[in-house]
Amino acid sequence: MPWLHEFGRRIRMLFRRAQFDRDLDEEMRLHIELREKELTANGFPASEAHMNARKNFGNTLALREASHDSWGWAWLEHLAQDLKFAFRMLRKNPGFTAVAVLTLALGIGANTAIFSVVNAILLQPLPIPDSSRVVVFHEAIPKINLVSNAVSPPDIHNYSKHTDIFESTAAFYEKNANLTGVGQPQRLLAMHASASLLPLLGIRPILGRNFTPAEDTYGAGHVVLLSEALWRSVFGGSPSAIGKHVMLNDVSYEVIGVLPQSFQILYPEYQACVPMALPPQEFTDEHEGDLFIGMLARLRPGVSLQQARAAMTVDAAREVASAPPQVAPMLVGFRIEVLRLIDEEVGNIRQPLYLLLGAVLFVLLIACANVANLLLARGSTRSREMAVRAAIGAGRRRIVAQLLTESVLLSFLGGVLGLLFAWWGTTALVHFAPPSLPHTSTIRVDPIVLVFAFVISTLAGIFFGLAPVVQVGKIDWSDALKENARSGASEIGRRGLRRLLVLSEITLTFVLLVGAGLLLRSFAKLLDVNPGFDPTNVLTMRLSPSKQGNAAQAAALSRDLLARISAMPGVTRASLAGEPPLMDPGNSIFLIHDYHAAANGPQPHADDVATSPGYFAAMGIPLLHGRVYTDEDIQSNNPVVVVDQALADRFWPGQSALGKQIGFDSKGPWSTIIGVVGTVRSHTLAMESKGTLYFPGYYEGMSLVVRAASNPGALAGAIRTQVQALDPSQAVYDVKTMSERVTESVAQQRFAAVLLALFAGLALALAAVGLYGVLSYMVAQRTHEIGVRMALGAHPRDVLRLVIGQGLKLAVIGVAVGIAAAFGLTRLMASLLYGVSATDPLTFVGVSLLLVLVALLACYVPARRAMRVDPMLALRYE
Amino acid sequence: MHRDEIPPGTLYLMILKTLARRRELHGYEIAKTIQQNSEDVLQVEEGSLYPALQRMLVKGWVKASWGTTTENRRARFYRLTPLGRKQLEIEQSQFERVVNAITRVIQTA
Repeated sequence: MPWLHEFGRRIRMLFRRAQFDRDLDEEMRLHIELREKELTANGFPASEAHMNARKNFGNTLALREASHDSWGWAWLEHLAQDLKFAFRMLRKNPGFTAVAVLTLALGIGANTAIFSVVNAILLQPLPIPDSSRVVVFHEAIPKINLVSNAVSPPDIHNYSKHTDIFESTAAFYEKNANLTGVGQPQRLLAMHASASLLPLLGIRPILGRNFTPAEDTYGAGHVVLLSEALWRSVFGGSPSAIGKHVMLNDVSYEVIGVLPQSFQILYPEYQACVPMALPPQEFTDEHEGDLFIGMLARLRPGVSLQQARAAMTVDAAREVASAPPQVAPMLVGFRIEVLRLIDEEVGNIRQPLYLLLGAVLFVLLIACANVANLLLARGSTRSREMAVRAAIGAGRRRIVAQLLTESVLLSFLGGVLGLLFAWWGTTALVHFAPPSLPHTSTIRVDPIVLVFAFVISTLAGIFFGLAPVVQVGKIDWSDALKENARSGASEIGRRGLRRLLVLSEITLTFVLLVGAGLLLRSFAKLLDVNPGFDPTNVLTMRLSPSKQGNAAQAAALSRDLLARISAMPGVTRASLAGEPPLMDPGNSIFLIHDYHAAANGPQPHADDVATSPGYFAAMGIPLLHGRVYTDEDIQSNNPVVVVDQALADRFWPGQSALGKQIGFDSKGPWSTIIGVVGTVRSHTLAMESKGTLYFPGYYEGMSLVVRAASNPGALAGAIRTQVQALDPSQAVYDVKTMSERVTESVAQQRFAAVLLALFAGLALALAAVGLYGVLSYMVAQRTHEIGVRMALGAHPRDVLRLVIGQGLKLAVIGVAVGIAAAFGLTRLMASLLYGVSATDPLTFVGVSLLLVLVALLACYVPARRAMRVDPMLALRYE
Repeated sequence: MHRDEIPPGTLYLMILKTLARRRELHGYEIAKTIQQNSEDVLQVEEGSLYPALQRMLVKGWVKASWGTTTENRRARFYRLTPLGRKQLEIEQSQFERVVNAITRVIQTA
């Protein structure tokens, strides 16, 4: 392997360069001396011999360099020289260096921070083997506007039959459980999973074992796997937890294993996993829809998502065709959707994240343009220096390399500081992340993020470094060498380039500002939405009763609880409700007496909420017509319901809904509508209500809704005490004021809007600095001309107009191009907007005005300086 | 006396050949030998010998070690390696091929 030896020699030389130089020098000196001696011996006079020997030998410096080049390290030596020189240049211009590094650090930092989020959430595969083959099933019934991530138990068997497509399938549902028998009673959400689930996901317990198919049969042994966090908090992370027993809803379960971190990243909401073990009767059609079952499958290797989708489309069509006649009309358009697990997890967040990534890229481009401008401003001094270097033998390529080395070095310095910013930024992002952001725990500055920062730093350095390089190509060296060469062709070209850069900055800033403006307007509109209830001073919490009682016992217990809480000081009204707004209300399909849905029209459906009588008052939902139900209605089993205005308008537009009858079975019984209340946005603030049905009643597992005189949060502790006084093992959880729930429901929009506004603000500041820089430079360059103009009688106002006109022209062109660009780009974010169109004129006009105003401010300072030019001084200076 | 520049690319060949005849030589001796053997017709720009020698060191054609001259001066002596011997054959046959070709062209012209 001769090349390996050769490489070894090269490396050795690299580390012994000083010795190498000494050896070479000595060798060459000897040569010259010997030649000189010989010439002297041949009768040359001493001085002539010396001269001759040297002349014949050649330029020792060049020869030494050529010898160095032989070893192939020339590039490295040049790089080292260039770096040394670049460092010296930066140190000599601390102001310039600080501004450039800070500008770049902001751009690179923002990019790196957002990228670390994108990387963790969108780019990293899920923490399970071959995650791209794991899919989930969704079912859509367009007739009732339902897209559900759940399937029904019979479907599990049906879908699993496709063994040619699915390697394995698994299912699970969730259930609240009170954990007792170890420490304080606590409520947890347990995953009831089929035995195939963990193997399908490739998740192995870090301790103990998974449960067996035998344990996943109805009535078999009760075993549980704990999440790592629960295991640590309850058992202190001790391996002896295996084999211990815990009580879940008063049933004893044996701990058989501990779930790894990957389970918590995928399913952070579950603290335990128990066998699904469904009773066989759940799989009959009568029970369809009782349980919300999530279903997953792992595709066979080589099977595409399209193949799986095609198979399920056939299944769905068969299901519709074989449906009983009374159900069939409702199933028209029924779809079974197959999507990758990762897409289910991150599908909704992808667009806002890419939007933010695009926004920070704009910020970085603006930062680059600014630094390029700074570099160009130094161009005229630099061009003389370049000319000198060229004159003493530097090739154009070496000069370009030198310039690029300087800008990449600058960019790396910015990158290092930017990483610091990114590190803070990432921490802040995770801290302020909306709850809808999945696996935030994995967001960090990891090696991939570091590589990203390195790459964008390099690219940015080359990008803005190209500006002065382009100029080098145009410099006439001999011209540049002249002492006072000021306005050669290169100077004019440079001015054009600088203007182009500022123009791009203004355009990019405009687009960012419009994006931020649209999101902020959406957010404001969202906050302006009337939710239909009064969130102030309302406290809500979920209850999880431990005992299973009959309906009468549950009602008695509930009345008792409400009486106790109502009697508490500070409580205005206490009530219970199945699912209050913003707490995932259920959906039901109902029938209206003597009403037939149009053949293709939607089946009547609405959110349904069971409540205690005081609920409307407690939640602040206004009664519009009729009356609300009372406790007497419940006690006498009066078949009455209350509907909201949205439902009344949908089915009885222009007439009163009062007295109309609705039910769930065409054979009856029918319930009478006795009241119409205000429409409530029950899912999110952005989603309009499709109608709500309110039933009177007390059931287990309802949530408490308490209206307080003031400061509802302070009541939480006392209310919990009252709840546990009635039932000590009852868990109270998800305690939040309605105001908090409202805030949470718009958290994602707030997050996106605030971040984009932040970036747009940053862009605006950078663009203003850029414009200011260009105009200041122009004023400095034209001091002489301005002096002449003033000497010839120009009024300071004319000078002001001249400078501001220059700046304003740039701003107006930038805004015009920006409007065109924004028209094209904001369309991409239409789905993120609420209540404003992507081309909202108010936003466009407002942003244009703002940008022009800021441009004027940026022009003002240099314009003032120009006005104050003393013609005498300016002329003498020349 | 008129001296001719050496044709490009033949410097290696001449250094290799010079070293092949002697056990080891230092830089000045190499330059002098080339000059003498060419009966002073060929003029090596003496300094250019050294980058060439470095290149040959990299390639592993020659080896260098410090020693003393007969006049007791420290000097770097160069010696041919087996690889260098092989290279000499390559360069020599290549050179002859080229010279023959050129000769044919000149004679037929």
